Amino acid sequence: MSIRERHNLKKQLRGLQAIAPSPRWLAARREVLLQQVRSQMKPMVKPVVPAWREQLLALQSAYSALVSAIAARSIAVATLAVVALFATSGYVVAAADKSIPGDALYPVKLSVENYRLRLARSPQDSVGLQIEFANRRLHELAALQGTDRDTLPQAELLVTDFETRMKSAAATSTEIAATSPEEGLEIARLFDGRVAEYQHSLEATGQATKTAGVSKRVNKALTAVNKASTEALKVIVTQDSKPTPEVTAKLDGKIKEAEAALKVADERLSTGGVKAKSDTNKKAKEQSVVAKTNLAEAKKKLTEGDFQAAIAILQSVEDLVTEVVNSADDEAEEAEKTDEPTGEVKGDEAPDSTEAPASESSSTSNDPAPAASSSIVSPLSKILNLGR
Amino acid sequence: MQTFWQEKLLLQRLYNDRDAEAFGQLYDRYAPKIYRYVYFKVATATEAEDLTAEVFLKTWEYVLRHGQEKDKRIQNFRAFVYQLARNLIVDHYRRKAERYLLVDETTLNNVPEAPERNPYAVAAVGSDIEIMNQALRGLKDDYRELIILRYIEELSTSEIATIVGKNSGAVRVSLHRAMSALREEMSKPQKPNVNS
Repeated sequence: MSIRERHNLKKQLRGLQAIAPSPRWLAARREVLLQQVRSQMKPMVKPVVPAWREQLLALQSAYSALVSAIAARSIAVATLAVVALFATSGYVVAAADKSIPGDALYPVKLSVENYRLRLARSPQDSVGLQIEFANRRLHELAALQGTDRDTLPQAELLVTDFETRMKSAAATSTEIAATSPEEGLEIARLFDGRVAEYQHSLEATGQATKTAGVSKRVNKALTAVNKASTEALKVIVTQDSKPTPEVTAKLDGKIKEAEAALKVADERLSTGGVKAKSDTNKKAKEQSVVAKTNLAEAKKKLTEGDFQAAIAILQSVEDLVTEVVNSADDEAEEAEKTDEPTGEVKGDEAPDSTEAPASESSSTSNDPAPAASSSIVSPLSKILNLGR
Repeated sequence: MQTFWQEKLLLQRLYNDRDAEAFGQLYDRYAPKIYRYVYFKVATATEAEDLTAEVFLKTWEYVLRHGQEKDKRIQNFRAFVYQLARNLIVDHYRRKAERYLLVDETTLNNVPEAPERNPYAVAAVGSDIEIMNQALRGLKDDYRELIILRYIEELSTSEIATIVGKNSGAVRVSLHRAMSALREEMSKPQKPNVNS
């Protein structure tokens, strides 16, 4: 065979390189494969490479460029900066993932998170990322408590960030559920599976810290988690024609928790001393009555199997319960400051709205429900009038 | 395009950092190649897709299973995935218990059109594929595989030797003979397309 013939033959064979799989199939398989890889992959344990300082310097310059580019809304430059950032310091980014507030690389971690959120291709991706990053805040909280540092300011910021991300994820999830019920259901189930973990971590933080500032933040974060979880249950109940016993039990648990919180709040409001007759105190008590009435109705709907109505009532009353509890907490704090007799309120601990013996809640629901005060609009009446 | 050293770095990230994205990048590079390699050996595009997916799944399983054993880590990702693809194709046909064809008319119809190519280029590619199809079909399996790996997948003779289990010298000799055989096949009169 001559050289020319061989050359032509090779050229014709190279033409067969045009045969390729469809890009859509490639991308879909990639996604499935990487999901499996990520789920089976153990956490990264590689320590930072020896040339840490040099890499950090390169990283800092790339980071500065990134921040400037984002500030100037120049996505192209920001992308280049991120590519440079990853190319020059892949290991540093990996190390940043393990950092906690106070570490030099922690700002890198947050920047990468924000960049990933900006690049989220869909609302679903965005929700997934917000949940992942909220999780990280809790892990960082736990890690902070294991250090000797003065962690109070960072703890407060972490809890605030967690709360913000929870709210953002919940809001986006509601939007997704409205347009794409199946995806909304998936997100709701994902979140529902993590609620207990979030509550546990936050409660542990609340108990570990004695500072009113952090405790208040923790309470707010717990409220955000509670609301988001109610919304998740609403999506699940809306999609499932027959909710599972587990969902029913969760709804019942939420009603009981709210009743228990109101009971504790009532006790605090009643033992406020001089403050017991203030306008704030009166309003809080009236709100408590309305809330208890609504919760009783929610319980009834749940027993009747009308899950959607039960959740609707629960969602409407959650804010009311929070207001009552906050009012009671404020009153208790005020009472501590003025050294008035506080009854059962302990002076060293900030009140935790989730503390209450759940077993006493049944007696609350059997109490006769007085008529709601005319000065407070009952959300229950609005809900019961829907569709009639 | 990734160089050999970039690929080494990806493998290092995969094993040492447990970086899933590193595996994703290796997939991006080799999935189209493995697909094409398998495509010439199976009857349909769907089978090619399934086998390609299986190659990467099994590669990941191997990485997971032997990640801690340094002597069993993948050193040459390209050779590894081609070898694995070859073995899976053998298993595939053992399971199906049928002789494999190189490319049939159904598969030809599944060849995607590159949208940026003009109609004349598409027609030219189509006819070249058909000519090659018939010529390659007339070759022995061993010759056909060597030609695919060397001139379509552009692997080196040493890599091909690793994949097919022969030494480099034998591969070079066989390749020379394979190309001569291919030229003879192409000089034969083309059989008419029964579906035209």
